[in-house]
Amino acid sequence: MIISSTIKMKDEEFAELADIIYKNAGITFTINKKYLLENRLTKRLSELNFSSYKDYIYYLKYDVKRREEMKVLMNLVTINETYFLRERAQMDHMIKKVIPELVSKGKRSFKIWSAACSSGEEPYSIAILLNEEGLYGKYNFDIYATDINTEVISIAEKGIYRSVSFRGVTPSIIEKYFVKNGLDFQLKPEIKSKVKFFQANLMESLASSKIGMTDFIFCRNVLIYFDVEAKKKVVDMFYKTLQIGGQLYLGHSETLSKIDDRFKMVNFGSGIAYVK
Amino acid sequence: MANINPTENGVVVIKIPGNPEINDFKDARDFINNSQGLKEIRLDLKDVSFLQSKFIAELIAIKKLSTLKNSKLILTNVQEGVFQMLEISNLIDHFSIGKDFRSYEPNELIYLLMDPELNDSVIEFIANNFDDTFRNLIAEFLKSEDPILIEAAVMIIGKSHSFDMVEEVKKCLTSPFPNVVRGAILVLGWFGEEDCKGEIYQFLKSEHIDVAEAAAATISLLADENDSIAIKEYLESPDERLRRIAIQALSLINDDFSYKFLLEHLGREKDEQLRTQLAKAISYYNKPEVPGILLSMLSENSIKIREAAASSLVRIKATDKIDDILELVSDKDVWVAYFAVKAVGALCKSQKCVDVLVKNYPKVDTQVKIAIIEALGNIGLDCSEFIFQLVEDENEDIRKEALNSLALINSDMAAEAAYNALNDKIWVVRFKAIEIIEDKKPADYKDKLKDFLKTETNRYVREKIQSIVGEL
Repeated sequence: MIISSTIKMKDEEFAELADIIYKNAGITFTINKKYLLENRLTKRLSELNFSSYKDYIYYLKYDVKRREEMKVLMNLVTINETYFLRERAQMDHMIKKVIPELVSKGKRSFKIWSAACSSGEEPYSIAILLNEEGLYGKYNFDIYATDINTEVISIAEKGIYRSVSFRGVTPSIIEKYFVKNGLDFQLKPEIKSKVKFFQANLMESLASSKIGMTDFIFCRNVLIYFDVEAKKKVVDMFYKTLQIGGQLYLGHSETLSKIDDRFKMVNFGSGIAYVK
Repeated sequence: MANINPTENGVVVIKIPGNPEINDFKDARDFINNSQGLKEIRLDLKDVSFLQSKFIAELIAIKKLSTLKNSKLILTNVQEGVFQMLEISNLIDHFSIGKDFRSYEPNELIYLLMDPELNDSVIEFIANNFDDTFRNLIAEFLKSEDPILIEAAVMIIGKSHSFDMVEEVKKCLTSPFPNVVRGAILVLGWFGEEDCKGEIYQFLKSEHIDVAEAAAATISLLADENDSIAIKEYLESPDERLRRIAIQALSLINDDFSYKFLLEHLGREKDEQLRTQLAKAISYYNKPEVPGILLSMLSENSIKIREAAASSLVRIKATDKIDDILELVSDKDVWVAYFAVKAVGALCKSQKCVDVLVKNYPKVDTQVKIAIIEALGNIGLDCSEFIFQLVEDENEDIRKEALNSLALINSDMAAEAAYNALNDKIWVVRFKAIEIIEDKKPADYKDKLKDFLKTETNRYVREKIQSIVGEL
């Protein structure tokens, strides 16, 4: 439905909603991100016939369907739009620089964790690039992909995308790995089968337990939504999950400065990796 | 060296270089100190990826100086490393942070356009500052194969009212990308391109709901009396989706024909979702019989339809139906009761309504109780004794709402209750109390709030107090 304008949020409503979101997902919305919450929730309010966020807060607190609604809210606020081969330099660094080095030292199996995979573009991009480099068949790769948002996980598992997911991707890659069906692009099974998806909340200590020790973690454009304490907690979990020498890749604007000094920062020119 | 750019309207942009030195901040301070009538200071940190501790002290000094000079300080284009530094120093709540796209080169803006969270704001910015540089930029976008850039170009043309580029927009109707087609349809509507209406009709049947909805919106913008008749046929479609788009289009057209067709369709439509949509659609018509229709829909079995009808009654000014609405206050469906109470609060100013709400209060669910307290405040007649006792209720939302309504009814009582509520164990109540104190401004309230700040631990409450007392 075309909503004529966003429903504006009062400061009091923002504080209460931000608190609810923080307690349930560990995501911090500071007041300068209020517009983001307004954009993401206006449509939901309209669906529920509410004209104010106060009505919605009471719905979340008192309605018999409050648990289901909390999931809806979490899905709305954690949705992270992305696209194939976004910030590719880090993937190239892993595939063309780090993996060959590890191979030269005798390593043959690699585990890669896309820790906030959204609708799957990131882990599938990694699988595509591994394939492009001819590494499948020579070595063993396990790619795990998690997200807090159950809705995006289900999209990822289907592997069906629209053109907006391909901004900046060359037609030859699209043609090679996707089957066009009308306006849909279906990922071919040989790449789809390379990624295992499941739901995980990075704020929960069990998030990494299903993965086990891993060699590479991609967690990009997610920590920006966490406050310092939550960032420290998540990064500590990453540290414990990474093998010695394992690499953590964050979004281009994110930094571990003042968050965790155990990682060694490696600037490889077109990006940064944090090494355990 | 800091780059200082004052503007005519009392706003100054001070750009701090990528590797700042103390003197850059001192220059900024000197400028602020020597200036008169500065309304807003924008400290642009776009090129600063990290700030050492010594610069944090400089930032605090600038903040204090701007407060002293009654100027609003905004840190713009703050990178994550600096943001994190401010957060670690517990300073984040003391600074307003914003984006200022003027600092970015056109090629940098392309990068920002690709960020889904910034896309809309960048489009707005370019449209508002449209010149030959941007004209060349969007010409490049239109030549690209990137659907995001093409859509951005179309939306920028629309929002900058660049009518001379309408032919480029029309070409986009045949784009293979649905987001581009949607943009083109919307822009052609804004431009009043009636010649395209026939072509846009075909998109009502688009498999992409965004495209179909855009077509409905544009057709309504370009509509004459024939369009309601043309769209009416879609109401007969066996395709539920198409009927939904038709209802939307007709309600947007909002003429006598469309009203008649929607009403007729209400008599036939069986689908629950569509009947819900019809309840909302009809409430947007200013017709005397609409309140009666909505009230009759309250006797349907579907909870969704009843809730939509009840919520629509809040929107329309059905003052002559207040007795019927009052009966719904004790409805078995909690949200029908909730919306009925909201409607009473919005429409009624009589003691009778107060009496009915107070009488029903003990019998209803929590969220309806909260709505009743809010409605009593909106009605504004004195029932402060009833509300005052609720300030001590065990439920925090009832306490909070009672404070709010008390503030609307009895200022003195509200200030007293608000001071007491500063010790409430739940922060949302304390937050509300502070809002009321800020609004009522009792004697020495800033000093009292400063004292209270010493022991307050909740970040939202602290932030609120700090914004009132201006303390760093």
